[in-house]
Amino acid sequence: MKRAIDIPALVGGIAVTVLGVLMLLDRADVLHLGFGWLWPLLLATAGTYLVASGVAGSRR
Amino acid sequence: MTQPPDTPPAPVAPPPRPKRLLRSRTDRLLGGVCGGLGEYFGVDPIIFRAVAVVLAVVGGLAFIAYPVLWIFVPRDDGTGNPEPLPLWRLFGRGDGTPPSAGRVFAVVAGVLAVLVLAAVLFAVSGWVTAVGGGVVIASIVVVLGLLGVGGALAGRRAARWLVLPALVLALPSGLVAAAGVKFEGGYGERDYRPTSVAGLPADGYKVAAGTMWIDLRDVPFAAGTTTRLPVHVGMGQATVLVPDTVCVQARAQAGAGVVNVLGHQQDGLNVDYRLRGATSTSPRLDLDADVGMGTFEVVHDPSEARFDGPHRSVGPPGFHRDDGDRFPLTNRACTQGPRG
Repeated sequence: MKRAIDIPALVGGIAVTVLGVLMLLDRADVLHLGFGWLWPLLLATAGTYLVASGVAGSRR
Repeated sequence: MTQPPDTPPAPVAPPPRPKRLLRSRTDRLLGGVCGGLGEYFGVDPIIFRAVAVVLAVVGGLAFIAYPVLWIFVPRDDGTGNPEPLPLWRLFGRGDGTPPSAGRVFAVVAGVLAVLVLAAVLFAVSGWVTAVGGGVVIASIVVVLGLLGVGGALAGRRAARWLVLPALVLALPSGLVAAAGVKFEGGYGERDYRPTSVAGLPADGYKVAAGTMWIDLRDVPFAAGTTTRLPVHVGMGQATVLVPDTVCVQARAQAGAGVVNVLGHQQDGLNVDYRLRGATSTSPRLDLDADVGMGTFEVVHDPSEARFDGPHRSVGPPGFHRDDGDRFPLTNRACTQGPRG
């Protein structure tokens, strides 16, 4: 039986991937992630995952 | 006379349960705290969510209050009764039975092991980024994210946990990169006392992590010349002592910390201090300081230094670092001619 997609893991994985790509671009000097960007970015990643977990949990 | 047939007593409605604050199981975005508050007070939970967002943005109180409520307010079990608290479920078996000593020990040991592992990951990530391996850390974060996506598509619930190590790696790496911390030049205390311009290192003085005092007071700077001197501090402090016959020009950048050049101070994040405007023919010292996290200061005399160092003992009795304003520092060599 095919398992259903785990939405929180999917959203969290996408958010973490985006975060990592932005860090790579920063290291490659394509963009600069200063302190002003860093905190919102990390909070957005964690927040996106938490919201996805909460929404998925409320639908169970 | 006949007895009336026995009739069952009329059912008595159970007394209403006292209203209790529970986290909502159905109306939730995160932990069901706002949904539970809405049900408890009989108002739309969106009001509490809006207040939580405002408290998160203004002062950040929600970042403390929400997790506390999440941990200590039990969740509705679906029938209006509270579930055991998550902490109790962690130590017990979720059915209300008291935890055994062995299980408590195992849980505490497990939590400590996870915290130690997280601390090690945190430190390693920051260090690797500071020595130039930021690309490696960023790549690992990407891989963890892709593994999470793959696991999610395969329906593996355990893939959710990959978010945690990814964030533990990303946070210190991002901090170190944002501050521009680069570990070059060794660690610990450095005390340099060059006696000639030729003795100044072409690539400047560097310390990866630690303190550095650079005493230039015995260097015979010649009038009409400009000497450029880079100073690099990864994490820590650098103090440069310059003779007052030298006109100091400076550009000092700090990711996070304090820059104090002859009494002119800037502090905070992303400090970019520039001191220019020389008009005299005095010898010029052009300092180019790059500080990741820490302090950089330029003074004429050790007694003027605001931060501790090996020369501080020669300062006047009773001096302490908050007395900096007692010593009006000048850079008059930039506007006056060379003095003997």
